[in-house]
Amino acid sequence: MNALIAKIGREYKSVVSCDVEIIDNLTIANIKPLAFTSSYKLDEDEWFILPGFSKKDYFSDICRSDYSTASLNQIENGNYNQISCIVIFQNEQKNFQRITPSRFVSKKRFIDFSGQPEVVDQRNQLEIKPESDAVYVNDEDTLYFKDVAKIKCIFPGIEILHREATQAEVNDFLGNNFIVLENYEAASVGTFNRKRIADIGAKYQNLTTDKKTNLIDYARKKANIDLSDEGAFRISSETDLKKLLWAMDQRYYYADIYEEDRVANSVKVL
Amino acid sequence: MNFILRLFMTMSSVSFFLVIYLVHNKIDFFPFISDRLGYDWAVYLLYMLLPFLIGGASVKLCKLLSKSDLKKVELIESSNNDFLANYLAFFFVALSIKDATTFWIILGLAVLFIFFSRVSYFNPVFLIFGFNFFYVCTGEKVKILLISRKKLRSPESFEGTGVRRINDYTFMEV
Repeated sequence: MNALIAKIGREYKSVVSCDVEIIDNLTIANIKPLAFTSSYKLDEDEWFILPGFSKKDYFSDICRSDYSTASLNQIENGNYNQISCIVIFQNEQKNFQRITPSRFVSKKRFIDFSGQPEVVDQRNQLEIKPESDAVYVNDEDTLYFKDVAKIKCIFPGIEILHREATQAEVNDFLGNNFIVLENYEAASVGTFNRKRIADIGAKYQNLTTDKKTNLIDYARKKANIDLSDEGAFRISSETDLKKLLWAMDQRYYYADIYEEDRVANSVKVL
Repeated sequence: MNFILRLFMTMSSVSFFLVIYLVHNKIDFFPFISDRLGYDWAVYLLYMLLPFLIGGASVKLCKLLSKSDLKKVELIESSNNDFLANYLAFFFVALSIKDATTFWIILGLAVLFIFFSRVSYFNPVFLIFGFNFFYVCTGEKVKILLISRKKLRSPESFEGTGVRRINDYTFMEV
């Protein structure tokens, strides 16, 4: 038997159970599993994996194979607009999907041509996407997912895999003597750059002094950011900061055969 | 669906009240039957069938309710006898009423209270149909009332099963 439950606030509630399959199963043989790396953007058939998921702090009891849906209250009609995510229990796989307001289709109007054509209003419905945001496979104790940001409301704490730099870390990073801020403040650094600072800032700190100097020289040549008279990077926008961080991750390169200067927006260590 | 079932179960539980009142006051709705057979009790037997018919219908209706999983339990406690006292009280009340108006008012109140409480799910008819009542603590430490034909003993020997959701705290295995 397959079941669908929904998270409302901190509580999961039972929605429906049925014998038909609610969603296509994730076929493990057809996908490419990869250990999580924040700098890499997945292809369509690739999924990040977290083996030994039940040992993690952010493991959810819902994933236990002996979880009884009889322990849950039944959802009431007034609760649907508060759903933050749904979980589909199906064939030893648990599919997690984040629910955003766009998944509710209640205001659309259609022409129904299944019989005599007629104009019909959409009834209150919630869309189930064919691909889930995360799938937990009980037999392997492994979580498959594509984007940490999408599942952090489902597994609170999982964002530690790809965390944002704290304000203190941002201040430290922007306080480096090779950076001057112009019309831009440490407080206004956006989410994506905070994540980059957490990743790349830490990598940079671990380099030797020689390597640090070489890296900054490399960035001066490649990043295409205005330099001050002292040779510091003049950061005036999120884009400038992104370019600097990418340069500090050595993502700019020259393709000598094609004679093109390039930037890699997704990198993976081979 | 749930509403209809609860109505059925409530009717089934209070029908004893009605039957005892009718029998006690020798009210005969079908005089032609007793006239033809010459026995009063033939009609009373007919009355007695009423709770069982409605109870049987409730069990059938339960099969249409939504299913939930019960995979692991931590505690099983039989509660067959807990509710019986409530029903015996009905019997005595019904025996002591002579006046029809009083009877219908009390019946109305009983229907109301039973309908809105969980007592309606504890129906002595179910006991006769072979069901048992258990308080069960699920693996998630939630206490529920489980109505099942099985003789549940220990949590270790409990096998995962699909149960019908009567309400958030009451489940029936049919």
